[in-house]
Amino acid sequence: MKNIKTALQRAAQLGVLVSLGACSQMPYQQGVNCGLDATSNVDRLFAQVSEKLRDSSCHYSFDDYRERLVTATKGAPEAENEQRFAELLRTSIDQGIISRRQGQQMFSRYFDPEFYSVKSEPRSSCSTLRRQHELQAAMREELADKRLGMLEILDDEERFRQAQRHYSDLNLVFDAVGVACSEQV
Amino acid sequence: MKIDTTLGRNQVLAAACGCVLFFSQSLAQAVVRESPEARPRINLFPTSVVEHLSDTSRAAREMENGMYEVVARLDKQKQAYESTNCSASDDQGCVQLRKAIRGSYKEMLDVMQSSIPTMRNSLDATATSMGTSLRGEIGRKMTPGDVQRMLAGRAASAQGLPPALGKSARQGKLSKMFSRYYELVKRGGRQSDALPVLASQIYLDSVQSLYFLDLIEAEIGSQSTELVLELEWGELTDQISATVGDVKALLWGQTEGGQEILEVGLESATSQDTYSDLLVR
Repeated sequence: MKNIKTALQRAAQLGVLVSLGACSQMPYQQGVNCGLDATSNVDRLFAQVSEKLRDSSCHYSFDDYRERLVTATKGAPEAENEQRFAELLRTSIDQGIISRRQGQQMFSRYFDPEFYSVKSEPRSSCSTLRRQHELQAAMREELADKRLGMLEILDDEERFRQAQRHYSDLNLVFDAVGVACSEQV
Repeated sequence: MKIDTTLGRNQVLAAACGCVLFFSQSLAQAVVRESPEARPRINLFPTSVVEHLSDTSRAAREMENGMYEVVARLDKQKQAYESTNCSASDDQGCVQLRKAIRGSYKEMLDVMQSSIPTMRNSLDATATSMGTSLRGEIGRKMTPGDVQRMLAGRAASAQGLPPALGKSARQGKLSKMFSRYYELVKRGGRQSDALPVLASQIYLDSVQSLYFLDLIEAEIGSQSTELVLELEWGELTDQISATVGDVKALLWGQTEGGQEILEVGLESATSQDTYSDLLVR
């Protein structure tokens, strides 16, 4: 009977220890408010995000901030939004919140007429185009992001047309090269 | 004396090492200097491709010229047939007209059938050489990113755009398409960044034309047999009218898609130096 009681006590102690260990893995939140004010003012929102990201406890909220900023800038599309996002990404890279590659990927997907999904392919065209449908799907998704970035955030129709031209040119060349490579003896 | 020889050898060795070092460094520098901005040098249009393209254009023109007369005759006969309401008549004149139309139609199919082997050979040669070029120069030598970089670097290409070809109205669609390709390839140096797009269009058009040529040949074979059987007493079918319409559209169609397609992506790219740190090159 005593043995059972001791075993139960030890199990309870172990449970407490495990709980404490789990808590220590969570970011320290006490006293830090990572939430953003309910404003749709773009400048104020970017300023708030920069301010919040100075505190490492809020680094975990980076993706939420990004989504919030995308929503806010969609409501006020203008060319200056590109500069605002660029500054935020540069700061985030410098602070180690995201890697340089992640920063480049985010910026390119939304604001570069060229396709990041194409640039990041290290293999030869013949090898890559064995899975042409995957590359095409990635390009289609990226074109949707570019539509969001260039049309809805920057209101830059000409740049989006340029992205579309890249898209159609690349697809034409990839179609032809894909057929040519598949006919290889 | 021995010392002199040793010294001499050492000097030669030193000079040789110096040269090797100098050249290897130059090479290394050249590689380092070139790599960030270098665009892969490719030759998509070797002489063989250009010659095959020229042959295809010529073969298409010959086929069209051979068919022009018979299709024009068919057109007149069809107009006469329709204007005299012959479709619902067993009048001797109408029967004769129907027979004449069928004869002209058979002649048109014969002309096409006799032109197809030459046309197919030259199209096949164009498709094969263009495919080899695309596979070797882009498929194996370049990554998709290289292709994109090449297409994006199309500086001042709008100036290099060829004017619309103002050739004779008799020139058919097919020959116009290939003679236009030939002209574009000849002028290609001035807009080399757009050459992968041009090569791809030529290749896909050649492959597709070959496919349709096979279909046409098979169709001509079956229609010729039917015509021989029906030449004397058969009705003038809608199939004949439709085929003549298709042939006319193929050879002398009014719509010109080539210009629109070929201009895709030839505009100059804008530079985005301000955000170069956030862009992948």
